[in-house]
Amino acid sequence: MLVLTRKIGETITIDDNIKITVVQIKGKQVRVGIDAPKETKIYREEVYTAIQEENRAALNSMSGDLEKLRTNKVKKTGT
Amino acid sequence: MENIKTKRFGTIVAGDDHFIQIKDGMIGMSPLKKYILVESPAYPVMFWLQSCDDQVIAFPVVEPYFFRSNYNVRMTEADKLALQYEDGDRIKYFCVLTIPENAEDMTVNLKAPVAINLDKGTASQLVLQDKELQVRHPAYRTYANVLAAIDEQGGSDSYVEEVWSPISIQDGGQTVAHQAAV
Repeated sequence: MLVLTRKIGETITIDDNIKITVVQIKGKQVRVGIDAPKETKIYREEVYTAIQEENRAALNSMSGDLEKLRTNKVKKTGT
Repeated sequence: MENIKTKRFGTIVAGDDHFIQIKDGMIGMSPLKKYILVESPAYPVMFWLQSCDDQVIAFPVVEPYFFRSNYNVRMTEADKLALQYEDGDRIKYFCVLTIPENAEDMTVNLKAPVAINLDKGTASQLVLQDKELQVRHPAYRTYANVLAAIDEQGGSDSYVEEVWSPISIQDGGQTVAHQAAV
């Protein structure tokens, strides 16, 4: 990983069209501003990873379990 | 017409109207771009977003409004581009369900809905900024209630016509292609 040191207000340029600016530093938090082409998708890493993992988990949803869901539901409405 | 092999539903016959192009793929699965929406009569309300490229890939999806009546989506410019969105296009949202071994632990991903552009046949999995929306929102109770409500109405599934050309799976593996809703 490339590691650079920047001060508040300083910018990193990636390719011709992406600019990342350090906007504010407050304790352990850093606010960054990002300028990028509008088709660029930008996410917080932990959110993106959580969604990735959830998509994988969703693929393991089994028909058998759905059958059980249906059965539970029928029992419920029957009372 | 094309034969789509699926692990869950066998071979499905689909036409151009049924294909949904997800340009960037589902999150974490970017190589898979071509999908169809499948409905199985055993499970009203729920649909399956089935990959045409990989037969084991099928996401159970459901409309978010059951879980949040005020579910509002603000698309970014990147989202609109991914959907080839133009003013007036109709967008339908679905959220991915996760149904683990214990079905009562099922969750729905309200944070990252799949937006389908009904006028273009394109789709994209969005990531919403709203911090209250959860990737793992508990879904069991609501889903069971919705199923019960539908049964009370005589089992009719009024959602079918509104979605992008779903393909119905009949008993015995036969398939029926709906007319495009557009």
